[in-house]
Amino acid sequence: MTADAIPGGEIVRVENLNVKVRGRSGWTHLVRDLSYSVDAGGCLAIVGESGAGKSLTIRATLGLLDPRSFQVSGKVWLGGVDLSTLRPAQRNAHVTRYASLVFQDPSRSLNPIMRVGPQITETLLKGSGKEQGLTRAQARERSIELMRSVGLGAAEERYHSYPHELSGGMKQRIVIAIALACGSRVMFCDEPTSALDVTTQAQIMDLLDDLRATRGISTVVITHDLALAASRAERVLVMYAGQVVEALPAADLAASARMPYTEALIYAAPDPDADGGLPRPIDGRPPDPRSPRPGCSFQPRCGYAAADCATQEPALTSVGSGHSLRCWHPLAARPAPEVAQR
Amino acid sequence: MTRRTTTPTAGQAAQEAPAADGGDTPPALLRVTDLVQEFTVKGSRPFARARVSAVAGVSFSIARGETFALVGETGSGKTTIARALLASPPALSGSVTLNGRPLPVGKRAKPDAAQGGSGIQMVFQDPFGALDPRWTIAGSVAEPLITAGVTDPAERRRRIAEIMHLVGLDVSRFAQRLPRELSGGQAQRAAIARALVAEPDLLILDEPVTALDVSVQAQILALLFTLRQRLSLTSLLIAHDLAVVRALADRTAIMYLGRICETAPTAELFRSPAHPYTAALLSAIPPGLRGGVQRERVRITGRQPSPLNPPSGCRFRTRCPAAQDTCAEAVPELRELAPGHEVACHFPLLPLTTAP
Repeated sequence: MTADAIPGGEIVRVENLNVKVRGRSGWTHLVRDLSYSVDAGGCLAIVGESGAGKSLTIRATLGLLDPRSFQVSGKVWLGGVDLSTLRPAQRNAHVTRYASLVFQDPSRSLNPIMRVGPQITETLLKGSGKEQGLTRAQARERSIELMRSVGLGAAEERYHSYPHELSGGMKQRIVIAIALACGSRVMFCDEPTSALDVTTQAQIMDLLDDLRATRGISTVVITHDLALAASRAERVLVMYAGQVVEALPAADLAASARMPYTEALIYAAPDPDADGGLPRPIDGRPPDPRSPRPGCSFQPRCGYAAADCATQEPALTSVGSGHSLRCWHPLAARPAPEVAQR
Repeated sequence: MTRRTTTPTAGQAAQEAPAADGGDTPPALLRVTDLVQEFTVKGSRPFARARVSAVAGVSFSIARGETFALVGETGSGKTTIARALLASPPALSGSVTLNGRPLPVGKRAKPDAAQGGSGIQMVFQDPFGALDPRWTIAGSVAEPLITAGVTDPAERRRRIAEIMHLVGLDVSRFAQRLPRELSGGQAQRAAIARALVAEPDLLILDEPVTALDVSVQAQILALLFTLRQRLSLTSLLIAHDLAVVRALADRTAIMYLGRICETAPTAELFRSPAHPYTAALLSAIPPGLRGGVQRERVRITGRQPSPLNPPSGCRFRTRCPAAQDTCAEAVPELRELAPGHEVACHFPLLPLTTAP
């Protein structure tokens, strides 16, 4: 437990994560053999359709799934410590100290009948500040500083606001301030900006970028917006049916994504820069995890599927530096799309 | 495109001669002139009342067969305009004509039930909220036909089958289902069928794909695109996602705090925004992945001012990087930059081609 992660080292490492849920007819396998890691100060984006297992993955990483209905296996290192070596109480304390989870809807993370400032102060007094022996007045002072550092103007006055008096973007900033008050080294964000307006979304993503640069706080962002992932993250993990189907540096997403599903996702999103270009829907629906079938999970919807795709499951194989994918017939690398400066 | 202004006299002129549109432009199906909507809310002290200026003098028109988009952030008044068109509640002042027929405006106006509805139908963001959970899909789709006075059951069945086929729902499988037995995409298809079955003059699409998953979103966008061509639909699209607007709309108006900042053909608006707010909005979207455009980031700071006490002059001036003294004094009116491209800004980013 001596565990400040080495600067530049890995803050999160997950190996062979498997999640099963108890159903009426036995266990359903929802996340399969998933591995990922995040460097200190790094940003990983997890993308995919609803039901791909994105949220389950981060909840399993943080040990938030109820053992009565979920079966989780695999190894998780957080801040250099193997969580499986810790007893449950120790593990919870360790996770609380290193990681925090930011949800899509900030109003559900905040206590609606408590002023926002005291919610930050309370976190300080019960968490990191307790060890430092902060007094209530010092904690209050620190909270106001934190509110300023997440870009809330007039922090003294806002300290006494109730959540309902703040806009969505401001509430999300308060949630991030609470995460900072915990002293988190890594922030897991589950669709952090999907409920926000375009300009607010950009502001919140700027804030996360800024925290990464100035405080070295890593972020893991779940999103369904590939363009957002490509422009903000360092690495992108594409998930389909509980598996990683492609993992690659974010900068390569547009030019060298080679798994057909990634390509389909890119073309399914409406493009703000395409002249009259309609998005191309992905036919069919994701497979039902209750009745797994042999072969590649994307095969029934894949436009490039061949005979062997239906019978044999491809393994995640490396195809270049930091780029791996799960496909028998990966697409040829495409020429980089032209990016006009404007 | 004819030029419209937000001067007080323009409203009266349009009321008197709704069809007196000049020359070779296609006749407008919907013409909204100087629409104003205000709400009374609780003030800061007990018993005090305050007025929210939700829409402050908005004018636009939609030609037959055109898709017109209203874009803006939360609180910009786009949904308030849609609701005013449906007279629930009607606008405080201004005029709205559909097909040359005036729609109710004013505090005491009532929705036009006598004529079998106003000829406007709406598709909402949440399809499950728009469909009665205890009615079958066929029942929900039939209701607008009954309201429109189609009494013959055989005729109703025929039209329901036709429209369900058109939106991609198999009648034999879906007609007798309840909304809870449908996926989000199927429910939105049913909601679109319900909106279109009585052949409305104008379809309002209020964030039609916001609540849907990526691939389903693409399916519904493709459906709306096909329907627009096959039925030559006229629609008002309300969205905050600029990529959706780019895919569907012919013309786009950007709204900020109850006023229109800029109107232009969609492609032109994305190519060369003239209002600083439009530029900021466009620069906030991540570049597309299919050969995107890297826009220079125009950052706006602070937050939208309260509509209880909107800024004088230009409503965007408190956050505008180019604001000057004039902006606080005079309300900028929509001026034409190029044919069909109008901007309400004292210092537009593009040169005015015609004298102001």
